[in-house]
Amino acid sequence: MADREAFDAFVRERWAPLLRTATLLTGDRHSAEDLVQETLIRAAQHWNRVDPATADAYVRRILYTRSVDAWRWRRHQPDPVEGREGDSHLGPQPSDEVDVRLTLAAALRRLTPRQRAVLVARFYEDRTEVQAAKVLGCSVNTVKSQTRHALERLRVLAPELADTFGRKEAAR
Amino acid sequence: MSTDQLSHALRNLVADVERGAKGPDAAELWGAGRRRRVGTVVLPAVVAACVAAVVAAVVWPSGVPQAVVPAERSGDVGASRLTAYPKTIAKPPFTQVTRAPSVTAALVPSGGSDRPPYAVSPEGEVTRVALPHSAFGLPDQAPSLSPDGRWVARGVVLTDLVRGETTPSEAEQTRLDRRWTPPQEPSWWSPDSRRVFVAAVNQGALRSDGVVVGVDGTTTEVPLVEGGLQATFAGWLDDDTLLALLDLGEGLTRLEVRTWSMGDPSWTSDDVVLSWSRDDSAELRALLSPDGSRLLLTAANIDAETNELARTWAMLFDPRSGARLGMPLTDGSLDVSKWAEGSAAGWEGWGCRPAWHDGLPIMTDRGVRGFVNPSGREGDDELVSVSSRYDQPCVAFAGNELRGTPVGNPALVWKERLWAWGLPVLGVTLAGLALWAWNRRHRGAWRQPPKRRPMIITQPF
Repeated sequence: MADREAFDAFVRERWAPLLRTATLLTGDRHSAEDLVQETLIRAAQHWNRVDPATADAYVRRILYTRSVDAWRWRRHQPDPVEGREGDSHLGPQPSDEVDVRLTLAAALRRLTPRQRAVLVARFYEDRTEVQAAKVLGCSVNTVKSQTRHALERLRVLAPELADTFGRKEAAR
Repeated sequence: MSTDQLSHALRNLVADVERGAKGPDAAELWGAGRRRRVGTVVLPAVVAACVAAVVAAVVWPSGVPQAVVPAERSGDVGASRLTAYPKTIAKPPFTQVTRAPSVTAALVPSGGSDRPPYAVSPEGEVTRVALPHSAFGLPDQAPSLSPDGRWVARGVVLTDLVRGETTPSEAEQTRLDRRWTPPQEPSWWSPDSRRVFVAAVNQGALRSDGVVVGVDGTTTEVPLVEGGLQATFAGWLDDDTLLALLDLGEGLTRLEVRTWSMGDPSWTSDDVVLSWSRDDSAELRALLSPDGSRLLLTAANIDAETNELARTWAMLFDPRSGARLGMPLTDGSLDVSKWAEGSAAGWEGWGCRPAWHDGLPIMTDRGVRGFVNPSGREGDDELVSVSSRYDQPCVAFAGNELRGTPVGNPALVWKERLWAWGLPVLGVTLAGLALWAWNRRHRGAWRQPPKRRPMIITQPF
């Protein structure tokens, strides 16, 4: 019963942050909601083995892994992200930063899931390379190389943001 | 904009993404997770149980089958025929060899002459029965099963399938083997299962046409037919009388019926002649029905160029009067009007002795089916389904007859099917699952490809 209550509390508290991360990972909110739901079901399946202190890290790792797995499954099918741009939450926003957001969102969608995941872990969640490697389940070198590839790709896809993506990023 | 600005931009991008979205129901998520947890435990357990059940069903040693004999078992007083026969003879994966498989409904020779044949119980259970070999290393003769299913005769040696004993004694067997050279053709059992006629040729000066061996070990020489003329034996007319046909050699097929009763000094003629307008060059065979009321004559035409069997013609006669009963039809009747033609039967397995079913001959090679197969399709009119995994399915039935009710045993069929293709499929499936599990564990979505591989192959992006 304690597990059940802890899980309920976790869902209440962490659903929104997870949805935001998932949105960046998938590119649209609908896929993000599906991804979060699948992640939480998977977490509930093994909740009795989860340490409450590291529950968030555990769930996020599932989130990242599932995002790549889902991409693997979908890669031979039309990418829903490209076909549902109007539905996307990364679409036009009525603000001064609309150009940046549009450009960044479009560029992110054209990255590979791995590159998106690295960027999200490194720059959205502000993790170090070591922490990112841990949560992504890969080596630090992989994180470095994927980050470099992702930034280079963003620079090509969004030249107007080249100053940002082209800068040499210091190791943290 | 710096990387800090990138972080800021990313956060701005999804800052209000949850606006308007309804959070998930934690109870539903918890329930779905619990169902999966149960499934991950139950599913492998069920799969393991199924695999264990399949393996146990197929390879579990079943031992000597406890034959349920629908007929009275033969005793000291007399014998009774089996009143049932197996509907299916499935070849089991492993069959132990025994000397006493109990009362047997059918025998299927194995591929090699030195390998023990298969004994099939009335319910279709199969074992292998160890039969004694010829004392002089001669090729073993085709086995013949007594009407009560208790005795099997191969040459002059009888084996009791209930007790596992052989008769005559070993010394007598050696003496008989030395004296007689039995043909490959199966022996002829009397309807009461008390004696068997072996159409053998004695060594030295030709003196007799064969020997009758009793289940009590006694032997009786059968006198020559008409001083040694080539005769065609047809079996037992009754419990004590043998029937043979003597070719009169007058152009058309004309055969004189000769009979010999136990104890008589010679064969007798009742002036009964069977006439049939078949080609004289055809190879003739004769077979009496178990009740002695019908005589089957078959004439096989051999292709002169290929020396292979081209066609077999069949006709039924009354052995006591010589009357032509007609050709056997597929519906079980006899057509007298076509007596001159006879039934044309494609008989691939020439050499397998036909058996009887409801007074009509049936073929016992490959599948056991009606004598005439009108459609030509394999399996039509099949009376007993014989597994295709037998090398030489030339089935010998008890008393050379299918009598009574066929007994089906679907479990045996499934057992063979499972062994034939179920286990390979299961193995491939398990291997596939293992490969999938290994791949799932090791695919490492974030791992770098091994460096020893060429970059052109391993470059994932």
